[in-house]
Amino acid sequence: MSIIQLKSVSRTYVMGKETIPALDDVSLDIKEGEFLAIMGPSGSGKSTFANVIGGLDKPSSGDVLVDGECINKLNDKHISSYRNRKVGFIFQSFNLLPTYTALENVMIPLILTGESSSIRKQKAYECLKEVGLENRADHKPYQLSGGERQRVSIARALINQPQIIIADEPTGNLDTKKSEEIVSLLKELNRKKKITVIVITHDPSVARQADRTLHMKDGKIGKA
Amino acid sequence: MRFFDYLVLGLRNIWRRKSRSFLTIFAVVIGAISMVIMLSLVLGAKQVATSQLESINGLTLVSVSPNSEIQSSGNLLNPDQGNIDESSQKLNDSTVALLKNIPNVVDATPTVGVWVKSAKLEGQDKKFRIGLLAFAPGTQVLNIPVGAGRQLREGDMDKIVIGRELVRNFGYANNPDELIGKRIILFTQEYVDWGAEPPKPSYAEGKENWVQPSVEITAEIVGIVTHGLDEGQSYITLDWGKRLMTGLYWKNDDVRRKAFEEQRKRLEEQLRAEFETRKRELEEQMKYQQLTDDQRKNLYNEIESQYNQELQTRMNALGYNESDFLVLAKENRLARDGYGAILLRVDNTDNIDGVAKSIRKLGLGVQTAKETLDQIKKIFLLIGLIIGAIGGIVLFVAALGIINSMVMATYERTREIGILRACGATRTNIKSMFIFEAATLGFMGGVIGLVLSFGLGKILNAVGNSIASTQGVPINNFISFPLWLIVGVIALTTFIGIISGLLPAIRASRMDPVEALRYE
Repeated sequence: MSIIQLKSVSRTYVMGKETIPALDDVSLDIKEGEFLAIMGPSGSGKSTFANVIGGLDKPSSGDVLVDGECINKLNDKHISSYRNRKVGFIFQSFNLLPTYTALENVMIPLILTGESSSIRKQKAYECLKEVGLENRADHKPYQLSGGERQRVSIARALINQPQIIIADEPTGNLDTKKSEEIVSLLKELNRKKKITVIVITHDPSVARQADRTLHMKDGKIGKA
Repeated sequence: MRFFDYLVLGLRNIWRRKSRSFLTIFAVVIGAISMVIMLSLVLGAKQVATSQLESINGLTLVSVSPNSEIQSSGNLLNPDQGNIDESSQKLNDSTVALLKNIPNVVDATPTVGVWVKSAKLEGQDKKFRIGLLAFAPGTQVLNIPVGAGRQLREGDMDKIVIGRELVRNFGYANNPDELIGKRIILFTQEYVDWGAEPPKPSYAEGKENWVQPSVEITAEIVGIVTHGLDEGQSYITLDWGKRLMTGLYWKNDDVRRKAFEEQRKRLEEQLRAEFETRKRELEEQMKYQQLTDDQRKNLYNEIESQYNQELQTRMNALGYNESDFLVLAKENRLARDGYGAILLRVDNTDNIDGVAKSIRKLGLGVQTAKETLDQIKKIFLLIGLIIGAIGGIVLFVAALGIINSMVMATYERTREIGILRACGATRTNIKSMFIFEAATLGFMGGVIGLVLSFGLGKILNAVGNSIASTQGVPINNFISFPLWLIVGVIALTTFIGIISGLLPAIRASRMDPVEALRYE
């Protein structure tokens, strides 16, 4: 059963007089619990693809259905709630708030939903434990290594028990060993929690771990 | 998102850029201080001005002056004695009776500012300025509230209720009760119908040798005026005031002098007749005697000097003495010039205008507490407007500071905004965060400003009180902090924060999350 359906999704950017198609009539089904890798050269539209699925960006035309719900038609409140509860983002540059501790960074989605302080502390701690960073809870991002930072952001992505994790170049800033750790962590989450994982990557070794790998070029998707 | 989380987030972000936040808040603090100090100054002054009227239930008082042309000084309890000219009417007891008959007038009392140079406490040396007002305490017009001792009663002579200023000057500010029963010495420029009589001048003493006397009149302190009333004013009964306004002096007793002159003339004529007879008898005798001219002359002279001697002896027998022709005279100034003012009590504030109209028809001047209050209000409104404008400008600049600080924050935190949006923050969440932060800046500025103003107010009050007491101005703690001012200032600065934060907040909330995440 497919959790995500893209129906003729296009996303164009207007740059001065030029119109640049970042996504060009993409139609795709992603199954629930699938580990999907998207590969492709820079500027091929991979990140736009991730942002459109994650509800950060809206398609210029076409529909994105998640669990049968057309997310590109949701208003700000509902699409924000979608990002908060259904999706977890992981970025290449980790995107942690620099002045917050690891625990606090993990808590952010729960702060936004208005969860009580004791519950969100407890949940955030559990998530940090899951990624093996419980003893780093009070460290700030600059006190953590790259791999640790990415694990904090994975913990943050997990806190609302999302159905989907979207990882945009999660290993781009990490060495091989740390990359492997992160990928195996994602793989484990995919297997144990049945979370659908979509990984955007340049790295073939990451793609090899996926159930399915798609290649993007000029905003179009082709099979590997 | 919870209110508390917005607050914590806002405070953390303010703390993150401490020095910039400090400067931003500092501007708000300055604005708040100028607003608070100046507003409370206006309020304090207004309170001082109106509390006097309130404590004597002054809103239903009407002051009648002798002349409709001349506006009185604006103080109901301080009648001008000097405002009298040919167009003035004399305010006397029949005027009082006439005014009492006006409908809605409850009662009336003349008020007289009694001329007293200075006063000192018996046993002390230092003399102080004193304002003395006489009124009839038996009437239902004035009821001077006392903080210690008792009020004046009808028939009280040489009893005085003194103002706070004198209490302070006498050094009894902390224990005014101890002044009750003590004696106060009033100094007047002339002898009056109370106390010592003026010394009888000897005849040789000419007017040019006359020195202005300083006459001491003793009075017993029976009460001390409560706080809030005109602190320089002391009060006595009208009966005693009339006596003090009656001058006492020696003058020629013309009747006695005339009677004496007549008596003297009669005596002279009688003696002259007697001596003329004796002269004629002598001449008859001399016809038969051979006398030289010189002898004859001597005889005449002898008779003449006998006559003068006799006249003198008889005159002396009458008790001739120049000072006997001086008599102690009284000059009642109130009977001559009339009362300074007449104070009326009207039954209801609604009827004041009607009563005032009837009095103006009589050609008399009218001053009501309402008019005084209206004038005071107008003046203070104007001062308030000016001050408000100054405070407003300062706060406007402070608002620009907040806007600047928040706009910079939106640039600095662009990426953070993107992260929050990715984590599920709505536009409203982002907007609220920034507005909250700006409001917190304003709030903190208001609170710090109030705390500093409070300290500043204490200092200014201490300075102001000491200046006021040395200058004899009846003002005490002229800077006050009513609750609404405290709440109002904090609310205002917070509101300014919100308004200032609005634009940056909207800017932040409209950012495209994808762009924001890409922002370096």
